[in-house]
Amino acid sequence: MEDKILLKYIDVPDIQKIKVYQKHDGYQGLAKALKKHKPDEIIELVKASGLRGRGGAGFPAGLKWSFVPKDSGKDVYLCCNADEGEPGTFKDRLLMEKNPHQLIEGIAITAYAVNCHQAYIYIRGEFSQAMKVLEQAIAEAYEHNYLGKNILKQGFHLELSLHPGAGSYIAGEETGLLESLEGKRAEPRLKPPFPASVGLFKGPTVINNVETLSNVPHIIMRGPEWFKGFGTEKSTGTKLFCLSGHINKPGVYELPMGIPLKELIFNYGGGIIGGRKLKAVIPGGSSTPVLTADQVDVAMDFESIQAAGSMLGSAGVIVMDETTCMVDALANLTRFYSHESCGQCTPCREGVSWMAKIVRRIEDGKGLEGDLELLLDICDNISFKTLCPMGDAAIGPVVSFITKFRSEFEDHIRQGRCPIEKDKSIKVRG
Amino acid sequence: MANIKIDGNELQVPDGITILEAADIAGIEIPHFCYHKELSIRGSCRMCLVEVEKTPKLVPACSTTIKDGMNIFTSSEKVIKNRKGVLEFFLINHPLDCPICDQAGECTLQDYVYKYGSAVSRFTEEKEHFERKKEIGPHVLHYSERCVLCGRCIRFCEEISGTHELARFNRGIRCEVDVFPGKKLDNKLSGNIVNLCPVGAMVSKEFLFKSRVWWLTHTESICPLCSRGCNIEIDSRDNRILRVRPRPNPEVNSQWMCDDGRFGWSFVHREDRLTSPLEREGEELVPINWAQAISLVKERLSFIISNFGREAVAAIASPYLSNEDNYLLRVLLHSVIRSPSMAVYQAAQMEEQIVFPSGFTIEADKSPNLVGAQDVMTVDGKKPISHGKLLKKVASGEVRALYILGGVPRISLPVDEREMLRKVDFLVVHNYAPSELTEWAEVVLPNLTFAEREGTFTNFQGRVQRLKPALLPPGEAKADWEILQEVCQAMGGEMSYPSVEKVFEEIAGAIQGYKSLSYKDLGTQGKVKG
Repeated sequence: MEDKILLKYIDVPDIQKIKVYQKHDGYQGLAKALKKHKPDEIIELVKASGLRGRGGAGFPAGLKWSFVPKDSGKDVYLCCNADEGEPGTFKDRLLMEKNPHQLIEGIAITAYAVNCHQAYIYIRGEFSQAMKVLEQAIAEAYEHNYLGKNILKQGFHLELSLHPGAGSYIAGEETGLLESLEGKRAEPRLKPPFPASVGLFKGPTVINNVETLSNVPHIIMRGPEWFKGFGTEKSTGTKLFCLSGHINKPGVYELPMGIPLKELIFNYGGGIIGGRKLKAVIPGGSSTPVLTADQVDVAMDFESIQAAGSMLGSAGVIVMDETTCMVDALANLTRFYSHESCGQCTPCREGVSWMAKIVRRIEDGKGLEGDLELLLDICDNISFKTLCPMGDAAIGPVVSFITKFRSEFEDHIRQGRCPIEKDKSIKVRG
Repeated sequence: MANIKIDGNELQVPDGITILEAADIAGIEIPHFCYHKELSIRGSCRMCLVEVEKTPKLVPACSTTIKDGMNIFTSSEKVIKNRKGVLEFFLINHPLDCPICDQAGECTLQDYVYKYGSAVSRFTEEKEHFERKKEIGPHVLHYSERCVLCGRCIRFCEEISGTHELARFNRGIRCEVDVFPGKKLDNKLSGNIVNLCPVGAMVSKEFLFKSRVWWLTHTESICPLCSRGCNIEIDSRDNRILRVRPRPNPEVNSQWMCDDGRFGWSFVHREDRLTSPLEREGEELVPINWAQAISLVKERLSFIISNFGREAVAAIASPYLSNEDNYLLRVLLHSVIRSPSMAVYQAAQMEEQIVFPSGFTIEADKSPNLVGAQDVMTVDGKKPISHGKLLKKVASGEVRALYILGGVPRISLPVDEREMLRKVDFLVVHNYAPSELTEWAEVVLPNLTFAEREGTFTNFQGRVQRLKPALLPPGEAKADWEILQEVCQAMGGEMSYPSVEKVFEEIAGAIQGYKSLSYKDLGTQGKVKG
């Protein structure tokens, strides 16, 4: 049985070119959608497939689309979130660089399903190669009438614009993205109203991740039952796992949902560098709570990881071996979140930077008694109290690192120095 | 209507309002920074989070709409902890320079910390530092370190003034409010930002280090610098104005006032304020006492009346003075001298009307009481003539004595009008300082500015609003109505008004449209005439 959906044709030479893509079933899904299905039927098919958002939250895609009001009288927008910025995550870039038409086709089908005639790809500003590839592919798609007016003579029209991101993590938060797309600072909006009712330019808006949208052509072409043949009952399909850290074969792996983490690390990733011992794994991008070495039996699907106290998130698997100082690693993570806080809401702006300063101080051997209680209390004062999910993203690692590796933190404070023998070949900016 | 429960109190509130508004109705304070009644809701300070039954997360009271049956807790353990937490977050990088901060004493952060915060700090790191006292505009200084980033100032420039000078710059802990590169916070409403700022981040250049706010005396009054009549508060100390701030009045000025009014009161403290009556001796004006002045006016007016008739005495009322002052001029002319020659000084200063996106308007007519002056000078339905027309009567020799009420802060008479004033046999002028009007006057009687005055103005909408005196008069200067009462009595009139209120009562009895009004009922927000 085939085991790949998204990366199936990744190694086909020139798959970025429309002629080659067409030869590999390219744009068949769009043709089928436009010719054989009403928009509502597409939504039903995607609902039936069980496809869940691949951006991190795992919200059912079809359900999200069904929230778009049918009779608002306003233009509906579709935004593809290609602002891939979660540390440890690098799957969307691959999808865009290697198979841009798959994404464009997914966007066209989704736009048709939600009655949208203007779609955007909000792409991370640093992805210059992906932008180049997408620009070329979008131009080709217009030439072949997969975009533009009266697509495939079926009376549906769609404009697709590529919008380079403005360089911040928070622009990947969906309402921050909308603000940025409107030309403003990427500051997340208060919800409600949710983007499905009031989004881009005050119109109903669907925002989906690159990987989510790339799955859509295949679901339409092969049917929901086929898609459900991959993965688990509640986490259907495959997932792109991004393996990084102290691992022999880092990279992007497309595997069915539910694969055990252990298998991912040791079979596909080739185990730990230098045969060293595994110490910890962040399973779903930097904001997801860390797992300890004895938790790696967990299956990599939304439900199982949640049951283990973490999240599948963006499936950015960061592997840390015994040479990792957890305090140092946390100092690095909190520094990142402190740098990326947009600054508009109080607990995130002040609290995250405060945490970063304390963790750095502990790593530098100046930890104080009570620092850990203080850190956990700061986390409590941020938890579920910020305007957007970034506050909670920032405390995810702090709470889990301290809870699961408390003695290591205490050693730092007690000894007044970092007691870990680090692998000096890995440089971490302080 | 929806039935809700707040902290155990059951109440009925209109549908569609927010928890914050509902709590306000219930008389319960929910502390907040970024929320402001007149601005869009941002929900970013996180200070107003409250607990709602069956909702796992705390919700922002400012943006959450009430629902029927909602059970809200504004002081549960979770809510109290959040407030403490948010205040601690604000304070970790706040300079705590209250002893040298202008805002101290009226600072939301200071008040909330006393009420809801913690007395000790757990913060042992180095505070973030920013440039202090940044000049971002002609009237406003910015202290970034004190800023709580509520964004009210930014939303004000977007939504109320529509001038878009301010934005947040940089991210996270380095985030600060600033003007866009190459721009200045230079718009006619910029001073409002100082009042909007809940802390001492936006302070007034004019008021900087002038006084601790608790030493100020607050007087509710009306701005005299255009016909809108913005409701103001005069803050004074040692008989000097130190600042003027807007008072909310939804019918007149919302919560705002323009910088012309806010900073335009310096004429009150002019060095050359008139402090005693003056009599002309050749080129000079020399001080005399009030008894001498009144008898001089009586003597000269009587002379003109007996030689040229009653109609040879004319008067010009002032749109810069109160209804009561102008009414007494009418009493003098109409009831005592019985001359019909009454005019109102008009079109003193007209500038372009300025309308802001929010609807706030600076009126073209820079006089505060043209409507009122015309109202009280209208006799038996006959409106007063314009001052220009009256001056023609002076030129023709028909008018021999002219009684002018001044009180004009900034004036420039056309050359021909100035020349006409020379021709009058007897010119008496009330004014608070030397001006073009006093240049040819035989007698100058020192009156008061708005800051020392009591009485009413009628704004362009017909709203009658009360002024209250914030300062004591300089020297022997008196209110115009008091001076005029003495003149009336000297001229044989038998009227007696012990107070402005009594004058107003008579106006209410005599003047069309004022009949339903009583001085006391005007209150602090005024009443529209009929």
